[in-house]
Amino acid sequence: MARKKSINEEALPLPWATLHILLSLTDGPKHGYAIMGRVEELSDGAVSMGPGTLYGSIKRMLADRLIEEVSGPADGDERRRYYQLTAPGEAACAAEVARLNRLLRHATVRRWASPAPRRA
Amino acid sequence: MPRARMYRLALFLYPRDLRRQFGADMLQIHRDMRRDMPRVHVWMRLIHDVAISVPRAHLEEGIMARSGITAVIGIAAVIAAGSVMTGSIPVGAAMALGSIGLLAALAKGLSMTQTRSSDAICSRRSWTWWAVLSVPLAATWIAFMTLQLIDDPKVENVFALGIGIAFAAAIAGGLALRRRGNRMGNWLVAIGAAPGLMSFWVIPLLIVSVAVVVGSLAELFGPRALEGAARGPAETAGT
Repeated sequence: MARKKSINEEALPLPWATLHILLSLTDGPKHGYAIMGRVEELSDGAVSMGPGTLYGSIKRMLADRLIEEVSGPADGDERRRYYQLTAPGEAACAAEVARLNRLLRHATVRRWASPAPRRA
Repeated sequence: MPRARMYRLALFLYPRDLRRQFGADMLQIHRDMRRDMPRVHVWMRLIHDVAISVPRAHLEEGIMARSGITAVIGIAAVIAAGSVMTGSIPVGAAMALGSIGLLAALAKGLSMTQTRSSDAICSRRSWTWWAVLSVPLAATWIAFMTLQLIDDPKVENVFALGIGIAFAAAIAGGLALRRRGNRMGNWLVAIGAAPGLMSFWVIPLLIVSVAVVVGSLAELFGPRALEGAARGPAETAGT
């Protein structure tokens, strides 16, 4: 049975908005405004998305099957649409975080291991 | 409710598909933001968001990039509109060039922020004489058109100011891209400086424009053009 390939290593690096949205959904399904709030919280206020950026990314991520729409909680707002991570979404998030970790490790090693240039 | 209506109108800037699929959700977020944030913050964020996400959405929908015919029709429409409004075909053509420059700068800038640009060169280019010259040139476009509007406040001069801003934005966007090592930046600076090539009656402006256009294109096609590509990121990181 052919598996639908949604995203793989070649798709990395993920766009920053995609990564932030994926990370914001790791602790459960959320609607758009909650995602925006969580992204801001995760980035200590450094990243603040608007609705256009958010839903542009969500549209792309739905097409890539990184996230999927789910029914909201019983006490949730019926007007809102909720999204949750899919298995490929979790994998992509993990792969991107691993890539960033590797990058950070290389950068750290390079900075601290190489001798500082001497100035005259 | 006027503010909600304004944002509802702004949604028409987005591709139809995105609007139909998520328009109601975007309006809901706008309502949530108005409930939770100061009005100024809401509008600052929305204006920034619209400016960034609209070109990208269209780019992704393929309207801007997919079809050569679409591009030709778009350019022709802008020239026609500019010509009718200003009564001058050259001004209409200038408007088209400026708009294209601005859109290209926006689209390219956005693609760079996504760190996926395939033609991003590793090196960052430093300031050179022509890049320095292009800054006052950009300021000149805006200043000249603003003074013209103050001197003779009419609709045509409002459009002329828009054109001036578009060309200045092309220069600014081009310089920013060039600093990131993107060759598209040189093209944008050249496009932004191009109107000066027609200013035969202001010799210094003509000279500066020629210098900027020649300098930016020479960097693209001259013997040092590949210098940036040849240097690796590690080498340039330390500079």
